[in-house]
Amino acid sequence: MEASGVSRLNAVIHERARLGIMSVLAARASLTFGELKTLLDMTDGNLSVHLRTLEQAGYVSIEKSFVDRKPLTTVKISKKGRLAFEHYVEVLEEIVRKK
Amino acid sequence: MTKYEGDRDASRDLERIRALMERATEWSNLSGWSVVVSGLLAAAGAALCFLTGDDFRNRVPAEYDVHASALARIWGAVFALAAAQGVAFSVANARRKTEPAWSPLTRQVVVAMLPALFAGAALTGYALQTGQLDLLPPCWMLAYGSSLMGLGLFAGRPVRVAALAFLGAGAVSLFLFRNHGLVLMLATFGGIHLALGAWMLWKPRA
Repeated sequence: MEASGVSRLNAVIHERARLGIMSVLAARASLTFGELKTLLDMTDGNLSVHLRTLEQAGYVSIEKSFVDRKPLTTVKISKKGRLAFEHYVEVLEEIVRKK
Repeated sequence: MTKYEGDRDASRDLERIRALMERATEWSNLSGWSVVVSGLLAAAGAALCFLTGDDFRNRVPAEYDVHASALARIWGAVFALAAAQGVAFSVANARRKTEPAWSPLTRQVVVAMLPALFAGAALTGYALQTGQLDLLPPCWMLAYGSSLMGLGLFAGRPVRVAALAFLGAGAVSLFLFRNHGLVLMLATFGGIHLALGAWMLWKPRA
């Protein structure tokens, strides 16, 4: 029973690092690259790779700007991303209930 | 096909999601030093009032204006300086972490704090207009405690405990100790801030 439930989990979100990114973005909607790095304790490279995957899936948008002449990268969760995350959590809860 | 590997499972993932979502809404730019400075400023304000004899006891009309304006000057300066240095420390903390000082989370923190501060300002106006100087310390404690509770929702349990201490002291002083406003200001705005600041410096959040 659990195996079939697990197979229903969204593969893009299921990866551990990406699940972390989506979790904090679900709570805050918008975070800077620096905030994400600190919250998730990830390296620049690792975070960039996973953000690119989430962006390609349409789950997040990435905006680059300048604040006080310093580059600032802001990551926002999209509506599609929020729905996908909510569905992921629902499936997760169902798996736990059926255990 | 999606699957679980190693010691990862659905219930652990749910716990991790919950923990991360909580962590994401923690506001970590509050500085222990700024809380200590707030306490010292309040203690200085109380000391100045002791020296000048400007306590919060109600006065006869002939003395009222002088005392009310002295109290307004001293405590207005204390609150303004405390707020300014609090903002400066928070901005410095945000810059150190290369985060924007006016982030969406900071906006939420400010929105959570403002209504209670507005209520405090309105009650201050009412107390001054009606000549009830002894109402000022309990009103300030209650309003500030409520505001601090708003901050505590984002800034952790010690802040919430301090907020409860302000609310408790405010409620008690409103009914029982209206004649001891200055001592209560020293104990709460001075003492609670110093205790909270010392705690935050001793046990900084991860």
